[in-house]
Amino acid sequence: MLVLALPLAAVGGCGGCGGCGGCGGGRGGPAPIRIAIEADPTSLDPALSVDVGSGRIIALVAPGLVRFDRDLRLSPALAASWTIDEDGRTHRFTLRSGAHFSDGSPVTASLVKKSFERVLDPRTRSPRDWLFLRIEGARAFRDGTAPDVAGIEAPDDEHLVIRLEAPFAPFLSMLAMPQAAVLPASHLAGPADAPGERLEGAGPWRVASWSRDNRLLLEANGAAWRPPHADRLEVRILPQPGMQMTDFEAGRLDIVQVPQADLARVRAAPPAASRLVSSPDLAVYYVGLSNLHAPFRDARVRRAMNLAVNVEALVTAFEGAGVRARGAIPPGLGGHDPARAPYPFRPDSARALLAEAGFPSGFAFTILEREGSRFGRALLAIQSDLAAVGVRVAIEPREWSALKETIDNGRAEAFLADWYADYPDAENFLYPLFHSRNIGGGGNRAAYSNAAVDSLIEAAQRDPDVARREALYREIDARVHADAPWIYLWHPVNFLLVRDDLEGFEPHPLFYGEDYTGVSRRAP
Amino acid sequence: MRFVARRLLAAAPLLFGVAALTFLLLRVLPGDPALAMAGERYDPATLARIRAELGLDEPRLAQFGRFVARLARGDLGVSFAYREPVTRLILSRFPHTLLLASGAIAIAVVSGVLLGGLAARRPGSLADRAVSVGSLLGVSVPVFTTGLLLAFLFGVLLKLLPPSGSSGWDPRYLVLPALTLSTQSTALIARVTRASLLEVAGKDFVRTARAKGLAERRVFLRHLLANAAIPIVTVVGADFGSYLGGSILTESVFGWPGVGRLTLAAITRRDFPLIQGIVLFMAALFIAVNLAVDCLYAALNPRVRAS
Amino acid sequence: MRPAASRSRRLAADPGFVAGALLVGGVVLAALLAPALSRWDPLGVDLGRRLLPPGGAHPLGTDDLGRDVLSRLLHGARLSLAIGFSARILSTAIGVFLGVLAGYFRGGADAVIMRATDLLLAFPSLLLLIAVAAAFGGSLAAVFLTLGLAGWGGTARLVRSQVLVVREEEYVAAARALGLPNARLLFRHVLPNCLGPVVVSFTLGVATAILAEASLSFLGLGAQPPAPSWGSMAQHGVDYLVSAPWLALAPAAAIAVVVFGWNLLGDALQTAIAPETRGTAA
Repeated sequence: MLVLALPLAAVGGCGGCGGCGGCGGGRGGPAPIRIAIEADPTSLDPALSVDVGSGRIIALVAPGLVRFDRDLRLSPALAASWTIDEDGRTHRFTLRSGAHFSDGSPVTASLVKKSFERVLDPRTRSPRDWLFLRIEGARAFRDGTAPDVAGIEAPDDEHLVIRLEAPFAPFLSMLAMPQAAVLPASHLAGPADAPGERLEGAGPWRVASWSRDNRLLLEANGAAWRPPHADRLEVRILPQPGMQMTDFEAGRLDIVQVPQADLARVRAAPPAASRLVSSPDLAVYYVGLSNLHAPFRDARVRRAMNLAVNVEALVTAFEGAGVRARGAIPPGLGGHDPARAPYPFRPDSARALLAEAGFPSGFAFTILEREGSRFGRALLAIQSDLAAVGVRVAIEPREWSALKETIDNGRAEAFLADWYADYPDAENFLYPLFHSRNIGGGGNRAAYSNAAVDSLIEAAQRDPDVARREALYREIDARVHADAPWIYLWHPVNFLLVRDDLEGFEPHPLFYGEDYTGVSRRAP
Repeated sequence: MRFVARRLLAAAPLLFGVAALTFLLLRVLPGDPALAMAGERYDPATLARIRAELGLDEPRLAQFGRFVARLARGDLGVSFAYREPVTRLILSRFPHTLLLASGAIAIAVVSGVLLGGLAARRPGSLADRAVSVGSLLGVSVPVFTTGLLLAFLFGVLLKLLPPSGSSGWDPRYLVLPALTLSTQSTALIARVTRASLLEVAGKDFVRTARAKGLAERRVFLRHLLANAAIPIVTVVGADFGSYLGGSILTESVFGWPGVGRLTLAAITRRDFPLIQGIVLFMAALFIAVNLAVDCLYAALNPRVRAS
Repeated sequence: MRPAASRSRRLAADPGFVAGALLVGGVVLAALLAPALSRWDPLGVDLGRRLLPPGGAHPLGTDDLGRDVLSRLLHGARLSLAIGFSARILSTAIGVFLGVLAGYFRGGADAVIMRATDLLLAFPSLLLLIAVAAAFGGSLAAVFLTLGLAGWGGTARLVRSQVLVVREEEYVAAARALGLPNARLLFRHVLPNCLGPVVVSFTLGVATAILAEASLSFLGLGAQPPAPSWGSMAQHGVDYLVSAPWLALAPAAAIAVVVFGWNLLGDALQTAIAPETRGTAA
């Protein structure tokens, strides 16, 4: 009976004033800032975070050394300043003085070292160990042949030195990711102390309560280096976008992402006392054409596919919740080229190219998609466009992990996929998506292989000069676009509705970038 | 008591059968839980390590053996996706499901009996026909439709009740999901009530009671209802048992944080231990509820005890 | 055993039966004539005519890809009926076979089959359906197999209890004692007497199967796009519940109407043919 009593108490204990829209708060003070996420985080362990929900919460509670501001400039978080040596490999960080975790213990360099090592630790089984694998000695540690990572040194409490095996320009950006969170000693002792339902960090927010699948309540951490203006942040877990809209319209949410289905309605008649803002996502949607399979080995066929599909119409049909893709790099990242011409809609040219490549009467292939994908509808339009040039497409939905397996083993002819930035550097698109080393599980799902592109990508990774790197990115993107390993679709744009009485909120391009410290509710 | 013991003994192999069947089904299905956990980009060595840690590369028989051994200790294992004990995951969601199930059954019993009684009072009347048709309709409309309609009507159009989520014991969130879930049960209970009331009403002892001039209501309550109770209890038992397992559709439509939503997520992620744990949990509950119902029968009707 | 003639007359007089027959008949007809009745291609994507409200050229409006809802609804009828029907036939066939085996031959076969039936009925049904459907990837064949293989429990039990009764009838017992071949007995005497309850169970089961298919599709595990399954139409329509409610409400209403019709039919049949089966699972 005790076993039942405890959970019952848990259910009752989180009642409070969560339900009412405009009330002044059951515990005194203004109502919390209320946002929504689509899925309950499975765990708040930074090393295990692969989904959007956990990433967002972790970034609020346990930040890392650096973060990105709204203009995607790298700015200090737990590191006050840093330098990179001439060799491009050695990064030296000076930690922010006086930074403390929510349990009161100070942030020290050795804790940073241990937090990073934890992600590489084979006992943690982290799927994101690739974040740190470029550090000297990381592989040895991960494979169990070294007691710690030689390339991370903490000469004293305030200084940290990280040495990479080779120069790698995007490394600093990767340190902003949720997986690079800095954890207090209480989480680092052993597997039993690992974060999971509990997470302590040095961030502006602390987890006050978590009713699984239901809501997370965060409280302001007054001891943080930049405490939030607001007292509380309530994160409601609402799996369907329609539910989130309804809650916003009923006054139970302050910020909501408008689902594509409601965009037209909201633009025509915005809900009272709110404003609509838009923010491009650092992402790209595409149909991958596997270079391992016969018709798609020929670049002419792949280009024909791009010429045959009316992507413009698709994007318009989806209410402008996207921007036509002219490459893989989304707008907002260095290396994006707004002047590049996308593939025009020319079914006749497509047919001609197909004939030239030896397919005068077209051919048939199957596009795989993820079961339950909301963008699967786009495939139907694509199917009908391709049918018009004689190419018969079958669409097959597959369960997600089965789909990944099929794609990664090279058994998929074509597939609908997307790629969201982990960190705001075009390298995060170009390297995993197009470098031949990443064919298989690394992200190069279309099995695209081009030695010249490979060396250009590697050159960009080594180059510390931002302008030169961006020029290289542009060139790589242009070459790959001409080679058309994909049917290029769009870069999604998010539309958010924000309550008028909420001050200081602007959308952040990175899903984990907003820390809500500058947001507060205007007093009535 | 021997009755109860006998039934409990029969339940054990049944649970084992359910466990074995679930295990088999899951291992035979496509979908790799390790991949589901690995994210968009992964190092093949990492993937291999994850699979090894989860015990997925062991021979199936060994996996099953470990599963059964743990089961015997009452341990349902650790979830692949959440990395937490399955028992804890289920128990943390269960109170919400219990709340929803109880609410739904309460509504169903009250409305069902009332409607059935209304229909049985004057067989063939308009009220009777309306209830008959209405209950048939209730069983025909899919749960998700009722849910969506109610959510739309009360949540969006009239804005009277919140259309999603839950907030502890706040009853306003409970109304719509419980109402939705209860429709099919209400319909069934109404029909069953009506049928058994009519059946019993004709019996001799009731006519004797009526002839004796006992007040209508006393006759109704005392004799008719007590005898009609058995089939009603059957329906309640079956439905309550299945609701306790988590009504996936209702919880999905209303975003109710119960076992049903956990189940759907577990299946999507191919989280074997969690799915197995939930199935066993549901089966055990179902069997327990049926046992309770059987005991109730025996209490209500001594003739059953003898069989 | 009532004379067949008066039974049919009573059925025909039962308004429930008539209404059910009309509804089901209507839907079956619509399904059969779907290609002729649909003015538009149910799979025809037309991004220029998205989300048109009901009226004019599109009596039930268009969906978010510009496809005519009415045409999709009509073709969806084919799908739902086909799956419901065929899955139920499979279930019934298995159920009758196993029920007869268990009830007639008793002994070991009976014990095993009854344990298996208990197992199947104790297993949470929707869960089973979801797990298996998720596994097979949601093709129509998979849904048919899933529903068919999961649904024989009730029929098996029903048939078995009928067979048990018939088996002990004097003439059957006598025939067995005389050594008449089992097959002949089964086909000429036992089975025909089970027919009544089986027909009722079948009819009511079709309703359940259609509902189950719709629920599976609604969860995204049944028939996959572009196949116009009512359940998946409802699922896609949910996103537009506020801006274009007809998208979700039309298929949902269709499901309700069809299932209602089958239930009416089954109910009437049950009253006429086999009132003794009331209260047992279909």
